[in-house]
Amino acid sequence: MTKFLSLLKLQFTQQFRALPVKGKKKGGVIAAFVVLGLCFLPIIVSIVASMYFLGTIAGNNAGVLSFLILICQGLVLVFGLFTIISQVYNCKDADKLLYLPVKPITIFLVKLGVAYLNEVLTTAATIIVVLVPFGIGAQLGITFYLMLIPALLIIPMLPLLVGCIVALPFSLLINAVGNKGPAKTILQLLFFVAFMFGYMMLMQGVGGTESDDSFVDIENIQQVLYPLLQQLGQKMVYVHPNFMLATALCATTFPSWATGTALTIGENALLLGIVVLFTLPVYNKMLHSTLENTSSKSKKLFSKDSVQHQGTLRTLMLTDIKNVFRNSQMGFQCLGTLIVMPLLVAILAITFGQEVDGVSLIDSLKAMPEYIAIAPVFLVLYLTLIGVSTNTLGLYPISRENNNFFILKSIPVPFEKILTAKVLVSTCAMLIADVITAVLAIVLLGIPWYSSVFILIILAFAGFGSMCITTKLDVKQPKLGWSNFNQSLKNAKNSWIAMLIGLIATIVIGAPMVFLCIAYTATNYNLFVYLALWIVPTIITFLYAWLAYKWMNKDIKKYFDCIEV
Amino acid sequence: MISINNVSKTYGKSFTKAVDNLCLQINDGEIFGFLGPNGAGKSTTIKMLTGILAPDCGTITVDGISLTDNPTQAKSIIGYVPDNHEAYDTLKGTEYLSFIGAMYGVNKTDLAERVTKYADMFELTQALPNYISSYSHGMKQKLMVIAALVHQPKVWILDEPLTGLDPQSAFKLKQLMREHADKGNTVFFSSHVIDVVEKVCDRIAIINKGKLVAVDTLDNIRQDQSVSLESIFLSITTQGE
Repeated sequence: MTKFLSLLKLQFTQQFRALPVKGKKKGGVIAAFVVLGLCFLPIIVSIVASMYFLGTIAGNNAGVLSFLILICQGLVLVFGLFTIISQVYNCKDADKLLYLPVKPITIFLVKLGVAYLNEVLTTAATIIVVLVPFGIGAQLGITFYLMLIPALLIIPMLPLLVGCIVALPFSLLINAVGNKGPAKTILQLLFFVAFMFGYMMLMQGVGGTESDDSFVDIENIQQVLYPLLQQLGQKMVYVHPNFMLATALCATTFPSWATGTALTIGENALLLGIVVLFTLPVYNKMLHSTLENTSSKSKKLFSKDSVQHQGTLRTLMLTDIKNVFRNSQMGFQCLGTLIVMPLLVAILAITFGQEVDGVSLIDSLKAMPEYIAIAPVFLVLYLTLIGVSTNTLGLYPISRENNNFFILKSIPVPFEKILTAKVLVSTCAMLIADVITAVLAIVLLGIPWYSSVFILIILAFAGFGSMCITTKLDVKQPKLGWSNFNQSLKNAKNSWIAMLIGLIATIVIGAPMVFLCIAYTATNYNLFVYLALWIVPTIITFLYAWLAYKWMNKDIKKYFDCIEV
Repeated sequence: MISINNVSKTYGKSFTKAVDNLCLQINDGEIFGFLGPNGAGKSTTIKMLTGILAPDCGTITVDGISLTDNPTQAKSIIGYVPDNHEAYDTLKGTEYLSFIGAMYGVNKTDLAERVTKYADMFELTQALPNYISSYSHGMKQKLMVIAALVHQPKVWILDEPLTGLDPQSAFKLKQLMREHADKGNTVFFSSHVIDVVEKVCDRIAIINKGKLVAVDTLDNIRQDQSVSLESIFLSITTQGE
């Protein structure tokens, strides 16, 4: 047990300890968090209100509560699956652990423990937003809130165990691929897309797609929703550990509470035992083979032709691309976040495309003359908003160099050129995601192709500008010296700042676009206004890109010199 | 020629100077050995010499070019072998050397010829098409040495270059260093292996706790010929402890 706890402490410290930042001001970071918090507040408030409303309808109903626990677990699974893969199966520190006098099951349980603690944090957030307002709405007693404390520890168990099983075949496949970085990255991306798609479909299936006109009448919602919730609650008995937890949470008598608590703990423990028994032998093999996979010998023979380059800027860009995408962890982080945009558009199209009485919402929208203006504007703003923060490639251009940064410092190339190469790489990557999104938008959402061309021009300028800003921010405060890229991302604040940059860029571009959209409708769909709708933001984003580029290069040498390798 | 004038360096908010008022002149045509115990400031000095770290004060010129005023020009005449063998693990050996060639403006024909020559010399030809991540410690070191030489720099700055090299490769590198210096170029060489420094270097400097404690030819430092450099090094670096 001592070994287990010591190892757990070590792994936990490695995972969560933030590296100290020398003499940096935290005001900007706090401000960014406050602004982002305010931006997300309406969404959180609406979820809280819905849960409260649901509580008032469902009352003290273990089945409905069990369903809400399942929703919480779904979120925990989505956010935690890749932590399970990287923590448990993608054992980067196998060489440091295997020579220790500990049993493989200890290593496995420690890794599982770290993933579990990650999931406890996500669970805490879901409990506050989902279960607490439900309890208030349902007027549940003090025992419900007290029971939420052990529930915090029980709820993440099921997603953890499901995640372990789901990730196992995928991790085996990844392991079989060996040291081939790009193949690993592609496999990870395919798994990510398949998982997200499957998850969305499952959620739609559980939630039901039936539509009823009586929903329009707010007074009838309660009458319609109640039997629906009852029906849903009855199904939840099949997820028995959850149902027992919900029974304990809703218990009004001691025997009911004791039975529910004992059974949920027992069932979760039993599931843990089964999962460990099932996965441990495979894990053992994988743990050892991670060390055997480190040498992949090319069968190619050296030829003089293989040593050639294509100019400084191009070589810098190509080397950067190779460096990122051949590292499966970095490659996945960078590509995985980029495909979020097209994925969301596809899900949006599927959701809006569902037919009710033979007509889909998307068809109804397309029939409106304003659609050709409003839909592309919405797309531009959406891509501007999330494009920056999802582009890991542009958020950590210097940090991702890590121990190799000295090479960039020792080569006789002006740093401005190195940064330009990095900004171009991240802008190009973002543009590829934008192009895929635009094509999907043309095909699935019926957005006119000519506006898609403008969309891409606007996004190219906006992306370039934003990437210049994020690049400079990383130069000012890079996170070098990491041993695991995922840990580096957790410690860095760049993505939060990037969300703020995306938000500001969206407001700057969005304000005139929305105004011109209104003008387009008001002038009875005037062609010149429609042209202005695209030309004005093009000019604005061009200026934004130019100013951001100038700002990036201002005093850059000073910051570059300050980076101590 | 390398000229280091009153150079000091402090890391972050530390009160201790990693390098304290260092003054050195390394002449053309000599192999200059740089000795010191762990944490003495050797690597910090080398990082400042290569432009990786900026000194807090003082000036460094390489072949008359200031590293502060013209870093790009100064770096282009330096060949640097780091002590940590770090390179882009995700690249292949050939790709890394192509990258270095592009950065130093070596044309493709010259680059191919030089890579072939040095790879044959250090017996790395077979491994060049493989990923660097699959290289052993010594192979990575050989790659870094080749990368430092492909652009035919006038000044070589080598931080523990022999670490991890097999005896054949270490011998060849020492020969190359001698030939390079004999052509009127400069070799700045740091090592923990005192025997090697004793045999290879024309002049040596000993640094301790960031301060230069001795700089001269080996014979002048070792006034009594029967005393080994090792004894002198130990006596100088432990003085005052």
